[in-house]
Amino acid sequence: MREASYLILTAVADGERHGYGIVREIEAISLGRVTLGTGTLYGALERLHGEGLMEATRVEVVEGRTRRYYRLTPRGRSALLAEVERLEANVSAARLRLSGSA
Amino acid sequence: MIAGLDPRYERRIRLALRGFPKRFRAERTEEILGTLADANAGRSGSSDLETMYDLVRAGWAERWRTHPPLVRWLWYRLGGKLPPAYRGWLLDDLSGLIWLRSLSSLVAVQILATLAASWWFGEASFPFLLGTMVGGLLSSPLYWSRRRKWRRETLRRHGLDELGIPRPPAPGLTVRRVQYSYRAAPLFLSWGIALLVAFPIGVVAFLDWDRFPTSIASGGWLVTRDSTDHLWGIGVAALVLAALLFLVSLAAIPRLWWRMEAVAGAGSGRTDPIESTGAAPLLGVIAIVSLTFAGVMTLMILLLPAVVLAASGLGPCLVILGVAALRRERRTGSAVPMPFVRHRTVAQYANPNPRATLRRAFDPPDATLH
Repeated sequence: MREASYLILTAVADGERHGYGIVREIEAISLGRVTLGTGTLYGALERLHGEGLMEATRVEVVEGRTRRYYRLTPRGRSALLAEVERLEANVSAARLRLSGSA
Repeated sequence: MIAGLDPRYERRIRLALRGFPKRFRAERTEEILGTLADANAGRSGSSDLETMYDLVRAGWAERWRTHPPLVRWLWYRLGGKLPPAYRGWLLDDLSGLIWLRSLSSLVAVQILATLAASWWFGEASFPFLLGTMVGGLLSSPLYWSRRRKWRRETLRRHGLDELGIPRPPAPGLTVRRVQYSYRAAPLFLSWGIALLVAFPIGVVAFLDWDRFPTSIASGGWLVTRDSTDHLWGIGVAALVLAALLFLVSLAAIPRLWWRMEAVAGAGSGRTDPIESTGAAPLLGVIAIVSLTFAGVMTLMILLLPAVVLAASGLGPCLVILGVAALRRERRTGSAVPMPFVRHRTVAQYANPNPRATLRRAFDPPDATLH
């Protein structure tokens, strides 16, 4: 899974968020390391939606600005869990080797 | 206009969004502008250039991601069907200049064939390339005139209605699979594809370019008497080709007409075709006339490009004829078994006399092709 996809899925893992909400959440998750561009965000959203990992829940207009909210689908949740487990396994393996070499 | 966005900035963003596919823009433009307005409200001095670059890059990446692979795309351009996964792309494609895209695809194939031939024989192929492009341009009225029909038939072929919505089988409609065969379409297709591929190779092989004292580089196109023998051969070949094409037309086109009349008439004595055969017969006549003209011109040792121009347009023309014939025959149908080309999935009402009622089976909007 690409990092952008992983971060987007993570950003909506605890509830629905709109586009700019996802961007801000990703900045928080990555401690400011990643700022997703708008084009990158919506390209990834379209792809994740096509893969059935995310779904749009509702659209609202706030001060003339259209906001569409997204959330994880059950399939998206499973994909994110699998990715987290894969990353954890990688981290554990790396830690094990680092502690052995020290 | 979006609240919180500078109108000029918004215009630039809308322009950058054109990198995305049409269907994407229709659904997400307002949302993206809203997100950018939110972002601008939340921070100061966002980089205009960076945002636009990101949008353009992501847009083309999205186009690339959703585009059918080359072979599927080419098959679709020649009249084939795309899997449902490409439905969005298909609808975008059909909403644009489909005739121009199809035409340019065919011409591109012929240009590639010509380039391959010239690469193989190591000779300059400028006249052939020029001829291909002019031939393509000459075929463009046909594409343009068929654009609406093309769109309608493509939608129907993919099981979609005029709005691009999948058509479910109508309740109470008995659908059965019938094997139909086609007589005229294979002839057109085989001639078209053979010419498309073999013509440039054949002509480059046939011509001994060293015998031409004037070259493209020197700007001379007039052929001298030195190459008379070759030109006689070319002229005769062009005339023979024209005669063969004429015979094929005689064999194939009346049969198509007869079938449509049979479908319309069904013993009622009507002889009017159900629909016009379109530009196909006209184009056949143009091809035959131009070939004959080119043959005569060549025999008179006038201009080499006359042959090239006339013959290079033939490949695309015949492929178009083949595809048109194939589609028409698929609609009108025939139960005569033929060994080489079969289409197995034509839906119709259950009826003991399919030839008489096949056309009616496709008339209702709820009739489904699988």
